[in-house]
Amino acid sequence: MQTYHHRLIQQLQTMKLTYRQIGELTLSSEGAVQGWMRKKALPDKIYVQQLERVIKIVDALRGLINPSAFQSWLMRPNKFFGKSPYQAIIDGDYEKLQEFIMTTREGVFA
Amino acid sequence: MPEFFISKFEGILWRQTALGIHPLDTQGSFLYGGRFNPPALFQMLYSSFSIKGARAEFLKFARSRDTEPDELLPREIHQFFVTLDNVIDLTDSRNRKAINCSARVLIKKDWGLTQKIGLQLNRECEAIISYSAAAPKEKNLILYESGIRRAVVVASSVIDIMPDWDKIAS
Repeated sequence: MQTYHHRLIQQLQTMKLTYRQIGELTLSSEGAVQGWMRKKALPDKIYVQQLERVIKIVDALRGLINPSAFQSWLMRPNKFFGKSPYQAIIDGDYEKLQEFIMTTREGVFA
Repeated sequence: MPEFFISKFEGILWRQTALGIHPLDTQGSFLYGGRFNPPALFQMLYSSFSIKGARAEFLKFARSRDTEPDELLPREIHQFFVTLDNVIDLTDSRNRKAINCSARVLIKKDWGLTQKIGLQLNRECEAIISYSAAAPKEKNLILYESGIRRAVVVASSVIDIMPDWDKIAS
């Protein structure tokens, strides 16, 4: 039977993220994510919360960026964030990410 | 209180959003502000007089987010109809004189003064008309809450690729 964290990780995989990326984004590691998937260990609550947070952000960003461009956009340095959006997620720049998401939804005039 | 020349407006306006966003949604502009509204004080809806203006705003927005326009597609372009009795047209020099501001201030990169103007006019009218900073020959109409309530969405089209802008315009 699949556990909650399995479903979370699988959801991130459907967003085209690798175990390595999921490990980085959740501040754990590729090995830890693989261990969780193989049921070798259960993630601490803090990692489950981080998985949930990352899913919300990545899902919202994927709703704004063309799917074919998403991976390259995510990894490329972006002046708005002062770093790549990927690094912004790792660094927990949630206010900036939220600003990008909310203003891009509406295309607020600049 | 300065004396403004109030005008009426009736017509179609244009606005682009991400897919699936309500055409009159202003949550983002409320939370993070815009050229004429400081963050978290009141909502404003930014719209263009023409699809050309909406396209220029889209391109400028993409630049401001350091993102290629193509990467932000698909998007939706909405048309809504509005009838307003109480509009302050800032492209009218008499109104600019009333608030002691130049046309250049309206399209400056720094939003400090325009946000002060928006705050000042908040209770004076339903909307303001200004030049587009993205295409200064184009005009924008920016609605306050009372103006947004009078807007009726008439059509929405999906922009899948950049040439779709021209197709819809024609």
